[in-house]
Amino acid sequence: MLTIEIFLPLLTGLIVLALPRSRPTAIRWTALGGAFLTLLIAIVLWIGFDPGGAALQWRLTVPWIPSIGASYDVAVNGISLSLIALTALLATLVMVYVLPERKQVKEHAFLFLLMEMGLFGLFAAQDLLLFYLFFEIALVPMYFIIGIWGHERRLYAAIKFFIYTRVGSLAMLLAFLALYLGMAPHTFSLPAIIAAQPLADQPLTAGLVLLGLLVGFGVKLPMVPLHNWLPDAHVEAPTEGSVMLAGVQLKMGAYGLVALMLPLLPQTTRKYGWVLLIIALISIIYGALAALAQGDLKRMVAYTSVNHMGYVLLGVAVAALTTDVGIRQLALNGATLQMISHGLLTGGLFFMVGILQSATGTRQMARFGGLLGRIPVYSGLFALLVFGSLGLPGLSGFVAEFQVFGATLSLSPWAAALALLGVIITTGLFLRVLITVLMGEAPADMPAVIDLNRRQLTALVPLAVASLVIGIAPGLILPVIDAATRLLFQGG
Amino acid sequence: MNEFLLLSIPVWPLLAALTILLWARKWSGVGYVAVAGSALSLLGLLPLLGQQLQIQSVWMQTGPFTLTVGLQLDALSQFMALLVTAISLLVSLYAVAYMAEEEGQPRFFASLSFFIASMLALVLSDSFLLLFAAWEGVGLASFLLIGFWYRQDDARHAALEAFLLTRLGDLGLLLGWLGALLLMRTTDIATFLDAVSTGAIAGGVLTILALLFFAGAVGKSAQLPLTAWLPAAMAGPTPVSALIHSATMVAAGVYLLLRLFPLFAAAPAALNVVFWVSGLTAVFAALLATVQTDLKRILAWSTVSQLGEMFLALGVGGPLAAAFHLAAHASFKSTLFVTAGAIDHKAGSRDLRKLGGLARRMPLTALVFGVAALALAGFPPFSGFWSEDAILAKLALRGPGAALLLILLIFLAGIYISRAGVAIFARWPDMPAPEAKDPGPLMMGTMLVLGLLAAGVGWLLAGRIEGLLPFGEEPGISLIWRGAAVTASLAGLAFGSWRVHTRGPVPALGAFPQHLERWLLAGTAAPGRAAFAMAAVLEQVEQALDRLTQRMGQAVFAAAGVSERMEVGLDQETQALARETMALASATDRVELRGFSDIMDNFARLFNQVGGRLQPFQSGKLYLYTLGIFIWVAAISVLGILAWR
Repeated sequence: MLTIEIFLPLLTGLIVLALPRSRPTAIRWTALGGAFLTLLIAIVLWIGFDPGGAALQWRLTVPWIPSIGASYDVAVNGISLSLIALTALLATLVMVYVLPERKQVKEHAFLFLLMEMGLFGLFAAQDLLLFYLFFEIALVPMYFIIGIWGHERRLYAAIKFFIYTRVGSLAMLLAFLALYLGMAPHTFSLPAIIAAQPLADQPLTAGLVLLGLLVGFGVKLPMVPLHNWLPDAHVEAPTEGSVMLAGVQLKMGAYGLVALMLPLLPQTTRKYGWVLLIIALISIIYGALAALAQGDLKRMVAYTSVNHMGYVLLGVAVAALTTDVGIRQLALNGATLQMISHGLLTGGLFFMVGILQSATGTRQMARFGGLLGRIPVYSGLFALLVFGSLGLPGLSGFVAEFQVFGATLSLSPWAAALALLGVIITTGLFLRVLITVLMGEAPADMPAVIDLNRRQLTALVPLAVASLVIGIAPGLILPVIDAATRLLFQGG
Repeated sequence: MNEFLLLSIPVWPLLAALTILLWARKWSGVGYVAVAGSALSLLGLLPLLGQQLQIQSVWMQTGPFTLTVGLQLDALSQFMALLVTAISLLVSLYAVAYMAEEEGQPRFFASLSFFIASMLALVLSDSFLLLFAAWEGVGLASFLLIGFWYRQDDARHAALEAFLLTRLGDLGLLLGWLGALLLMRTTDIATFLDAVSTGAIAGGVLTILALLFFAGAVGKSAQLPLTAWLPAAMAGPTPVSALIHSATMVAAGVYLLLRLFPLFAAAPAALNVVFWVSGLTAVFAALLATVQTDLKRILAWSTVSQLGEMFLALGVGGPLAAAFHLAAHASFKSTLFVTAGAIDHKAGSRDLRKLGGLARRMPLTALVFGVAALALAGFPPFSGFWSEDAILAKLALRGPGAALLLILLIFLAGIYISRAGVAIFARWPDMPAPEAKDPGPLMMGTMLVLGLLAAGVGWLLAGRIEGLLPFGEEPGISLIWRGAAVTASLAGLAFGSWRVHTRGPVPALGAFPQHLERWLLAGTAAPGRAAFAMAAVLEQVEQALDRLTQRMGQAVFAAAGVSERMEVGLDQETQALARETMALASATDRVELRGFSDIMDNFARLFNQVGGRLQPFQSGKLYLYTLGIFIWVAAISVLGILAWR
C-alpha cells in the first residue's frame, strides 16, 4: 500500500506525459485525480496505522543493490505518516489551485507529481541511500518550477536555490557515507544503524557527521545562517511552488532532524545540543525581525517560515539536551505538530498572497487597504490563517508551540522567554498586516480586487478546517505522533 | 442534567455567534440573537446557583502530560458568571438600540457574542489550558470590537495596540501555567492549588509562578507598564467599552488572582509586587483622569485606577474586598459608559468642552449619571462606598500609609468624576449648549436598570459577601477611617465641581499629568521602535548575505568557465590521442598481419582475467557513479534550461 502511494504520482505523471499537449484540461484533471487518489491512500494508511503497535508499520523491504547493502526499504512511523498525509493534502489542493493555469501544462503537472513521489519516498525511506535518492527527486523538480514558472527574477532565485541545496545535499551525502562505512558489514539501513550506533565511540567522526547532517537538513529547514535562499526562492516561485516549498519541502529538513539526526547520533546531538539551542533561538528572533522589515507580503510570509521552523529546531534542541523522557516527548510532539501546522497555515497564507498577486499584479502591503469591506470572505480566511500563525488557541499553531515552549521552560526559563520574544514580534507583524491590508481606507491607486471563487475556496478551506480541527481536537492526530516519539526515543 | 446546564452557559453565546455568522447575516434584528444568547446563559445559570459542579475531560495526552479541559461551578465562578451574564444581557440590549444605524451589525454582534462566550469559559474554567484559551479568546474579541470601525486610523491602531500589549502579559500567563504543567503533569487548577497548599512546591518557585501569573493580569487589567492600550481602546463602540473595557474583560486579571489566591497567599513577595505596582498604577491613572477632555478617556483612566484599587486589596491579602469592589465597579462603570454613549449619540459629542447644561435636556440620563458618579466617588450609600470601605479596612491593617493611599484615590475619583459630570450637565462660563434629549425607551430602560445596580449592589452585598465567597471574614473598620473616606469623597466632589463651575473643563489639578501620559506613550512605543530599528539592521544583513551568494554564484560560473576550457583542451588532447591510437592500431594491424596474432590472443586473455577480478569493485562504485552522473545531469540541465530561457 505504501509503495503504491509512493509510485502512484509517478504513474500519474507518465500518463500525463502520454496525453496530447492540445488537451490541457484533461492533463490538469488527470493530475488532480492522481493527487486526490494519493490523498485517499494516505487516509487508508492513516486508518490502518495502529498507534499502539510497532514503531514502523506498512513496511516493505526488497533488496536493491545487495552488494553495497542498500535496499528498497519503506515504512512509516507516526511522524512520517502525518507528513505523508500533509503532502498528499497539499499536493491535491495545489492541483485544484492550478486548474486554469495554461503555461506548459504537461511539464508543470509532471514535475509536481515527480516531486510528490520524491516527498512520499523520502518520508517513508528506511534506507539512507534510498532517502538520498528520493531527497534529490523531490528537489530537482523545484529548480525547474522556480526557473520556468517563476516571476521576474526567477533565474537568479533558481540558481541560488540550486547552490544552497546542492551544498546541503552533498554534506548530507558525505555524512551518510561516513555512517555507511562505520557499519560492519556495510549497510545503509536506517533501523540497523540506529540500533548499532556505529559512531558512539568515535567522537570526532560523529561530530563531523553531525555537522554534515545539520548543514544538509539546516539548509532545507532553513536555519539561520543557511536561510538566505528561502526568501528569493519563495518570492520568485509561482504560488503553487511556494505552497509546496513552504508547506512540505521545508519539512524535509525538519523531518531529517527529528527522524534521522536525533536517533542516529543521540549522544553527539546532546553534546552539541546547546549549539542547536542557540541557533534555534537566533532563527526564531532573526526570522521574526527580518519579516518585520518586509513590505512585500510574500517575502514577509517567507521570513516568518524561518521563525516558525525555528520552533521545530528548538524542539529538537530541547529533545537532545533533556534527560527526561517525558520532556523529550513533549518537545518532539510539539516540533512534529509544528511541521504539520506550519504546512497548513503557511501553505494557506502563500495561496492567499498568490491570489492577491494574480488578481492585482502586486504584493506590496502599502498598495492595499480596507479589503475587509471589499472582499469579506477573502479577508475572513486571511485573518483566520494569520491568527493561526501567531499562535492563537483554537488553531493548530498554538497546540504545537505551547508544547515546545513547555519543554524549553523545563530546560531553561531564559531560553523560553527568548522564544516568546519571537512570538511577540510575529504577533506584532501579523497584526500590522491585518490592520494595514484588511483595515483602514483603500489607497486611491489600489488595484481592483475580487473575492474568492469556488476553486480558490476549495483550495483554501480544507487547510483552514484542518488547522481548526487540530487546534480544537488535537486528540485526533496526536496519538499517532505520540506513538512515534515514544518508541523512537526511549533511550536516555 | 445540571452538567448539561453548566456546559450550556458558555455554549449559548457561542451558538449565537455562529448563528449570526452563518445564517443570520441578512436579518434586521441580528442583535437580538446576541441578546438571546446571553439571556439563555443567564437562565441556565440561575437554577445552578448555590451548587458545586464540575465536568472535565481529557483534551490531549502528550507524553506523560495530561491536558484536561472542563468547567466548574463553585462560589467564585458563579459569582463571576452571574456578574458577566447580567451585565452582558443589559449591555447587549443597549447595543441593539445603540448600533441600530450602523453598518456591519452581524460582525459586531457575532464578535460580542464570541466575547461573552469566551468570558464565561474563562470564569468557569477548571483547567489552566481552557482558561488560557478563553483568555486569548477575549483578547481576540476585544481586537475585533475595538477595530469595529476598521476604516478609522485610531480604531485600527488601538486594536493592534490592545492585542499586542495584552498578549505581552498573556505570555507571562502562558509561562506560568506551563510551569504548573511541568510540576503537576496536568493542567487541572485544583490539583495545582492543592499542591501549593500542602507545601509540595518550593517557595522560590511559587514566587516566580505567582509573578508570571500576575504579568498576565497586568496585561489584561491594564496595569503599569502595560496600561496604554485601555484609553486607546475607547476608539471602539461605546457598548464595547461598557461591557469589555470596564466591567468584564479588564476584570479578568483580578479574577485570575482571586482564582489563584492560595498561590499568592503562599508567595508574600509576589503579593508585595502586586501591592506596589497597583498602588503606583492607581494614583498615576487617577491623576491622568483629571486632565482628559474626552469623557470616555476619563472613564478609561478611571477604570485603570479602580482596577488598581482591586489589586491593592489583593496585595494586602484581601481577596474578599477585591471581589466586592470588582462587582461594585462593574455595575457603576458600565452605567457611566452607557450614559456616555447616550450623551455621544444625542448631543453629538463626548468632549467636555463642547457639552454643558444637559441636565435640563436629558434629565433621566443626568440622574443615572449622577448616581453612578457618586458610586464611583465612594459616596454613601452607593456601591463604591461599601466596597471601598472593605478595601480600606484591609489597608488600615497594613498601616496608615496604605489607608491614606486609598483616601487619596477616593479624593481624586471625586475630583475627576465631578469635573466630568458638572461640565456635561451643569452650567459653566462660556459654555456651548448643544441640543439633546433623553434616548429612546430601550436604551433608557437598560440605563435605568444599570443605574439601579450601581446604586444598590454595594448595599446588597455589604455584610453578605462573606457568606457568598470562601475567603474568610472581613475585618471591621474604625469610624475614623470611614469618616476620612467620606470626607475625602465629599472634598473631591466639591473641589471638582467648583473648578468647572468657575473655570470650565480645564485640567483639574494643573497640566502636569499630561507629561506623565506623554512619557507613558513614549515608553510604550519604544520597544516597537527598537524592533523596527533592529529589523532594518537585519535587512542590511540579509542583503549582504544576498551579495555573498551572488559572489558564490559568480564563482561557480567562473569555475564552470574554467572547466569548459579544460573540457575543450581535453577534447583536443583526446582527439590527438585518438589519432595516435589509430596510428598505433594500423601499426598493430600491420604487425598482426605479420603473424603475431598468438601474442595478441594471450594479451586479450590477460585483460579478461584482470577485468574479471576488477568487476565486483566496479559494480560497488557503480551506484555512486550513477549518482554523481545524476547530480551533474541535474545541474547541467538546470543551467542549460536557464541559459536557454
